[in-house]
Amino acid sequence: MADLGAISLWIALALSSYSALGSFVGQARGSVELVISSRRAAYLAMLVLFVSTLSLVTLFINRDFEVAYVARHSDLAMPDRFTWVAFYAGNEGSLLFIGFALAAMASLAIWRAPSNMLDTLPYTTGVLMLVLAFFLAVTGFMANPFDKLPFIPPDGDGINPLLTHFGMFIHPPMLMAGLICTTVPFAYAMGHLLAGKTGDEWVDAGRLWGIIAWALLACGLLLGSWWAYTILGWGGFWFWDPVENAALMPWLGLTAFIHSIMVQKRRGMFRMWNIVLINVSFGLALYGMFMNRGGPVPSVHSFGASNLGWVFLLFLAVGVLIPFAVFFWRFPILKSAQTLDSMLSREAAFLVNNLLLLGIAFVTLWGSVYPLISRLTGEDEITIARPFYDQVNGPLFLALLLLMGIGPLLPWRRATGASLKRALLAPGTVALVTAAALFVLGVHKPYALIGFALGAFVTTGILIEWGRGTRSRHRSSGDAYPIAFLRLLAANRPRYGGYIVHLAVVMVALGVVGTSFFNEQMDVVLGPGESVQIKDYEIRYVGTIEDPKSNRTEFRSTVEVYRNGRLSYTLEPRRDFYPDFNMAATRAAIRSTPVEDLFVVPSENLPDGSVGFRILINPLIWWMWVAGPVLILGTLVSLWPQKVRTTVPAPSRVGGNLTTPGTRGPATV
Amino acid sequence: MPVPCNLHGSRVILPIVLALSAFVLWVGLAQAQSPDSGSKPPQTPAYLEKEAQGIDGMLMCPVCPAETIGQAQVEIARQMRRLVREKLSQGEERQEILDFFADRYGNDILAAPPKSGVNLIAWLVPVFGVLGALAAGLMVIRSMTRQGAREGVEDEDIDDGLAPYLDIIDQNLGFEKSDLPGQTENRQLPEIVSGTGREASNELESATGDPESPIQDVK
Repeated sequence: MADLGAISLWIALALSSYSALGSFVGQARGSVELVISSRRAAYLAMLVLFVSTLSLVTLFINRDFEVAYVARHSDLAMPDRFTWVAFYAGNEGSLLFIGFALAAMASLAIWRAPSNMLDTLPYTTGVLMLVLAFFLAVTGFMANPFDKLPFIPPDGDGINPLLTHFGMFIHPPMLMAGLICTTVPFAYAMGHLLAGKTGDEWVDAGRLWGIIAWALLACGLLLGSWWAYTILGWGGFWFWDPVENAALMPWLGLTAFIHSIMVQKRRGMFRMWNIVLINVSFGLALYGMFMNRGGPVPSVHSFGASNLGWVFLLFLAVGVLIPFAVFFWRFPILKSAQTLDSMLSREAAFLVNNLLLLGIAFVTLWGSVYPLISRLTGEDEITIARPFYDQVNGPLFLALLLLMGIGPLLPWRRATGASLKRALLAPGTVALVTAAALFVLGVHKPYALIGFALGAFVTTGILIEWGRGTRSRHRSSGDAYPIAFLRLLAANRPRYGGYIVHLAVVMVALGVVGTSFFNEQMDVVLGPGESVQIKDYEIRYVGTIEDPKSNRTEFRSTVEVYRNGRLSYTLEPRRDFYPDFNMAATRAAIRSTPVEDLFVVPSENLPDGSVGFRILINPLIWWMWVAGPVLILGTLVSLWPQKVRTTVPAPSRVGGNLTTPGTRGPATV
Repeated sequence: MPVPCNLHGSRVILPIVLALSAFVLWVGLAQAQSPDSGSKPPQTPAYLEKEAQGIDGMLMCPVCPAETIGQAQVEIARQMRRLVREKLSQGEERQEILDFFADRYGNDILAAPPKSGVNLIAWLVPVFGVLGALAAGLMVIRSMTRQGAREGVEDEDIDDGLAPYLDIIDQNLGFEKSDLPGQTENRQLPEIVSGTGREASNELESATGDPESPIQDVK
């Protein structure tokens, strides 16, 4: 089985290399046969990698400890369902996973490419297969999951206990898939450039795949935060850890991209800018994978320390330099004569939004790179962690929130001062009233006030537009209000799906502001029967059951929570000690409500039976986890294909000649 | 010119004013948050737990990767947390405590570099980078709008059929602007269409080169 996996991995490498080479050469020489055979090689590479992936799964299920990777990441005690997690518990399996995910997405992207992209598709295929070949080569030569041990150990080392959590079934694969998915829109853009096209043919497919990558990353990030919240045992969910940052940055880049690409879709503008954005996003995604697979910065994600760093760094350099070289080579034909009509337009708002997003990405990148620069230049050993990002990125996020409220209220092309005033009046009033009310209620922290006011601003803007649209639909068609609302959403899915996502972002902001500024934390040591008061909760520690299992000892504590002198509920936080790893994994007991979470986690079990608890009240964090499904819903709405007609480009002032697609391409000249 | 005139009144000033006011706001907010704003007198039990937790979040745990002592659950983090509280109850200020740990362990024990000396670079580069980019972006938007407003007058009566050719002229102008001065004379209309991957290696070649039709439409 190990041999089958290894052989199919090598075959896939050969196929993808052939496909990359064949696509480029075939297109350059005009050989249709070569191009077609290259495309088929790409499909075949996907199938062969599937075999390879299945082999590794089988090896895990059989606990074939002769295979080093299986021995290192599983043992006989591991339940079979953790096979899925063990698969990517180390570099080798993660790389194989990334390779297979890329091959699958590439096949889909090539197969489903719109017919107007056929002449750029060989280049796209070539780029996709080049990236795939890189990952497979690294997997095969440097981190082969099918390498065998010289002997067969009786049992494996077991799975990292931090990974045995429900979130770990989804968070890492989603992030890896999201990072690598960025390759697809990038490859479309590169194909477009290499083929010397000037039109907007790649925009729809690029947007589709950009949003998919974006949504995968967003869900991965949210799930990762949730995992950190429930298992890391310190009560927070985001710490600007270098690897968190590495996933956040491409997400920021893609957020900019999926907004800006709408301008090209609707107005035929920002052609160069979109290519820059997708290049940047791809570069940041490569950087993310570099950090994750052997990066130079210490992180809580250091699961797979290795010597892969340099190879990735090299590929990162190539993956950033070459696309930009191609971009500058094609720069002249990309230059468009588009002009903005007004600073008060959605186009301009999108541009500022792009700048802010890239600004946050830049600050984050700077924060992760500067300590290295400082160390290399021998200046000072310094650390850049949460306080830095909170202070520098915090205001930028608030500015972004503000723009998220204003942007959708602005029309395409131009707004008049009067119409803008009218549009801003209601949301602005609600925002001010919210801030004033909160101030009276005793919220005096400036950031928090601004954050809440902006949340109200964005939400009101969206609700008002929905309300208006629904009412006019109700009037014109006589539909009942709920149906009129759904019809409204269906009528312009990219837009209203985007609004739903905006609401999800407001929810996340609520959670972040609530916990950052209003949480209460307490570290106490309690003996059995002792109790402690935090806000209006009285927390009484009853006792701990020590329960030895085969690979760990579970310490299950019972904690009673009283409110107003009455027993409200009982919690059972847990702390598992894994002697093999000399580490403890905690499971916090969390009582979650939309208002606040009560979070109790045992941080140490003392010999005399008393327990060190960390107790937190985290206001509003519930909204953050609810935002996940809302975000997915919004993404699905905005991606759902329009059945009847596609969006008509916004009419241009100059007789349509600047925006009508198809008239700009060289084919029509 | 129509509507945006009221904005054009303040040509260059507007972006600068915006950038400056953003900067002031930013610094103000950062200051409002920053450590030395709340030098509260110690209360019962001799220090504020909230203050202690704030300090916990500003000190890295020396043995665990990328965790502060507020997060880490190893013994040394517990000891450091106790030390922070001891020092607070002895009446020491936040900055004194941070300095104490920085002297002992080096500056990398601090979760964010001090805002002084060489380390000021760490803070200023992102702030000015972002503000600079925003200001530049606003300038670009402004110049794009002005161009639009100027062309808007002439464009009204242009025959639609001419549009593709006008676009090509625009693109050609783009060529000249972005190129070396000596190479512009060979630019001609058909040359625009010759850009497939064929001459990938050499842009000069394509600049002087032939209007050979590209290979396309591989189906």
